[in-house]
Amino acid sequence: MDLQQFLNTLPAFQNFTPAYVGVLAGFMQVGQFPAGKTFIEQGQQGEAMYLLMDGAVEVKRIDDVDSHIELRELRAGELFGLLSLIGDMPASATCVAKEPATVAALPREAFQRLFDTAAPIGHHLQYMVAVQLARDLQERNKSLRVLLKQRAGAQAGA
Amino acid sequence: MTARPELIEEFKRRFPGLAGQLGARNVEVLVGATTALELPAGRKVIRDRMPVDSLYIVLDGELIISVEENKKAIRLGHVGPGQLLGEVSVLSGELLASSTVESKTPVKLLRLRHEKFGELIATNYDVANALLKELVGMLADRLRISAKSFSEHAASDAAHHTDAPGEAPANPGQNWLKSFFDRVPGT
Repeated sequence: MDLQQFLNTLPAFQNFTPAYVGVLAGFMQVGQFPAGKTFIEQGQQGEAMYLLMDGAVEVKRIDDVDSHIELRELRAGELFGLLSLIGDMPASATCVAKEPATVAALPREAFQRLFDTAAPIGHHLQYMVAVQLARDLQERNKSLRVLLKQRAGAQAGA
Repeated sequence: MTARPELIEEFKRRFPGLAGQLGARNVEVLVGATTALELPAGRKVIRDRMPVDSLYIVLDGELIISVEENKKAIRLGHVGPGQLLGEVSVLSGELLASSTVESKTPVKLLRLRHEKFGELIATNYDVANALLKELVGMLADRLRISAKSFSEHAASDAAHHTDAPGEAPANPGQNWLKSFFDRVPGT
């Protein structure tokens, strides 16, 4: 499967010139992985952002407060591991291949080089990182509120 | 609207990196889109889980960020000159605050209404990119601080842990930035 052609089919990249999409495709590494392959582990720093080209990936997030497990399944065309593009930022979920999968990886250092050669795509990915960070921060602060609720409950029951 | 020269100079002094990326013309555009605000100590600028209609650019003074529940609060940290506030609500699309921000000292802020922010980034690629880079750095720092605070509080509460229901998932809602990236010129 040709990565550039695949990228051109995705709404997120259809507004960019073929030259920019070609640069992005050149920076990404396509690989085929068996079911069970772990791409990203919750709490660990990831090394790359991934684009699922074929197969399925399961996203599993364990809530810090109540250990509730949230599961989602990604299909072809979806991105994951966006926060791997910035340093010192542990992943908020674990991503594992649910079936044999074809995945394109954009390593962090390649993301930085995108700004020199295909800046509009670099900025677009940065926007997606910003949105992901904002949502993660909101989720984190919700967990802090749950902790406060638990404290209030514990004090009332004491 | 024309920006007051003294506010432009103060912005450049407090945000040297961002001002450098924006360039003189766009600093004027950005500051001109804001309203200056001076508040005494003890004023809640943003209230946890209440609607937020603006981004705030901190020029002077100190503010405290905290998360509230049942009249109790966990303090997450301080914000001072050279930082932005209110960015989570606009980026997440929820338009609700994720924390409370209260002035600890008298503060001087530039208020940029979300509508103005949306308008600016939809029409000015350079401003959008410079602001976005600044926002990613700040959000990452705040997420690290929030995660650290959570770990510390969770560890201290571990012995008294009780189950509690989670809250409803976030509603993606409207997102001003998306409209900008949907119409990037020349791409």
